[in-house]
Amino acid sequence: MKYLLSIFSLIFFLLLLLGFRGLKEKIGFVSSKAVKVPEPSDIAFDTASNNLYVVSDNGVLYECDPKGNIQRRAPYEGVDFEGVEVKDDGVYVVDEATRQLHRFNRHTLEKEGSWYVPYNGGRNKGYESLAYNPSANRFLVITERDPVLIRELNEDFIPVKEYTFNDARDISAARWYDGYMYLLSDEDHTVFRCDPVTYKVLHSWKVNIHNPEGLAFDRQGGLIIISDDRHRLYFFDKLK
Amino acid sequence: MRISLCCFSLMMCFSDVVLAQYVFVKGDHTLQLSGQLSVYYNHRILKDGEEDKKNNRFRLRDMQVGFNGRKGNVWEYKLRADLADLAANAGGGAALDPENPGLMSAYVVYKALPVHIQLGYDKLPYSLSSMQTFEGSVFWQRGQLLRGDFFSRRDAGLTLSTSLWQQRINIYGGVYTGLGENIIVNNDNDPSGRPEFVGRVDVAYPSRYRYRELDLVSVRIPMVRLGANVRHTDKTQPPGEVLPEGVAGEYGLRIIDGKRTVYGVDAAFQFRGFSAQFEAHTLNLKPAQPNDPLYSNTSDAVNKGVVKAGGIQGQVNYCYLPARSVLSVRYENYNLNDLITGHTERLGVGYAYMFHGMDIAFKIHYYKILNEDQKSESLKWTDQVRVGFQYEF
Repeated sequence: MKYLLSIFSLIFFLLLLLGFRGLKEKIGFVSSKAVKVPEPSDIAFDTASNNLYVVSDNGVLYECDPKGNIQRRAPYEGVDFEGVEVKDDGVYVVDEATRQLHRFNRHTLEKEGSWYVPYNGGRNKGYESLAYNPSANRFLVITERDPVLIRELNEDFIPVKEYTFNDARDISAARWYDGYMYLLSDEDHTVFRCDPVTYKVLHSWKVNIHNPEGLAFDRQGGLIIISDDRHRLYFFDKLK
Repeated sequence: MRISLCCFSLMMCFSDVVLAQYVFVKGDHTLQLSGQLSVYYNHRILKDGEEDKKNNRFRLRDMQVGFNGRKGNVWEYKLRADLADLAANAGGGAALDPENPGLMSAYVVYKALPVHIQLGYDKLPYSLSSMQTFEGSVFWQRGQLLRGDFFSRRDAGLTLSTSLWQQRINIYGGVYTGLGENIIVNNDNDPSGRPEFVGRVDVAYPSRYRYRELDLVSVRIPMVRLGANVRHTDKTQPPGEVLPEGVAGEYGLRIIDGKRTVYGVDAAFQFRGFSAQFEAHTLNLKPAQPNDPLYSNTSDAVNKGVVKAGGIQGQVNYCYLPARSVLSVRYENYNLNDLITGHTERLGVGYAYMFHGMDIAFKIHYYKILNEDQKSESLKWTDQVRVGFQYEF
């Protein structure tokens, strides 16, 4: 038995050595606040109102103030909202379960239209992120995992270009800011800065947050991350 | 052996091709197709004088196909079966293996109310280890105490469940046939016609804690969960009637002619790749017949009309993601009958190499019998090694 245990230990520690990778840089933490939204899954910052749009796993879109208090709730209920983006007068939301992309009026929060974006991967491994990429002048949706696919959509929300992202086990949120596309990995606790055209990773940071699901930037470029399981907003310094 | 090695090499080459389930969408109705395949080789080191080596063999453990459906946020349903086990059971002869019953889930859930209502056949809300998925474990077998020989793991019936405090608290209650996995083969209830009642509550802190054995995401905060569960049935047989054949299980404990109450507690912890689970269960059995074998020919004055059984299981796991490796150690200690001297102790050590999480993994475990209950469970072997591969899609 001692012999077998020794073999197990040896194999394990050899693999530890083989797999060792350097630690990533961390981001400067500022503060955190509880958010009242049940099972929050993504956030988008509205520069016009300084408010946050938050979507929930229960298929509901909320508008919250920067302290996490709910200001408004969209009347329409979907199934499993996982991504949200603000652009012009629209708030765009992607439903992971039904593979639908919805447009809400930013002033009334009434649903104005829905588009079906087909994807046959696992129900909980579908579109987890939604962002607008001004560099490509396109919306993009990203599948959560197995595999992580970045799909650029045309003006009719039809996928026209697809990229496979292999630098993380999963992607839970995406946001364009200041010329770069930022991706957040929940399972790898990492924020990636990517080239907005090729989506190649240019830099990465470790985020010490449990179950990070949403990513946004405020007016000054401060990073905001939302945790689903902890129901909290986390505020960080501007990324350098 | 050469063919097996070739197959294994091919699996390695294509391990990144796999992936994920397949979904069909129609409006707000989604239907997901998934499955699992696993094969292992089992080798036992026999005691001196034992010559029967039939258990040294390859085994197709899983050949599962499942359908999960969801209609909006109101309805959910699941159908899941293991074709390998169904084929084995159809062949007859061997007693039903409660860990591999063939039919795994067939139920509908109504979710539009604060309390979810589930009707059908599925895992019972009893025992933390039982509620966790098998493919999420490094070991090729659940612990002896928790694999279905002391208490059933699945049954047909009604389950009510709800969550509180942002899903940190889970509460379950249900009523079932009490025949466990045997209800599928038996179809009818036993002659007593009485059900089994099951209840469970667990509390997690500081956030909700999913029913997973391993910390594959290296959680950033220490997380703990405590649970307690109880189940009761009175299967006292009417005069002249007996329990259906084979329902009592390997140890004669799963269903008895009499009253049976089982209660247990469990705890789980995880932080930065380290995880641990502990469980303890006690069976309080009151056989109706004074000559029931469970009384082991003891007098009423000695047994006082009660037989107890149960035990504990503890397990620690460490997942080191950069090396795609998980190491687990498990300790089991159980007593089949408190009227008979003796208990069994087992130690298991397991290792998994994750090609793609635990969806595609190579697993090996080693089991050592530390102490044998010579009177109640005399074994032919002292050590066991299982090595194999699992593939989930």
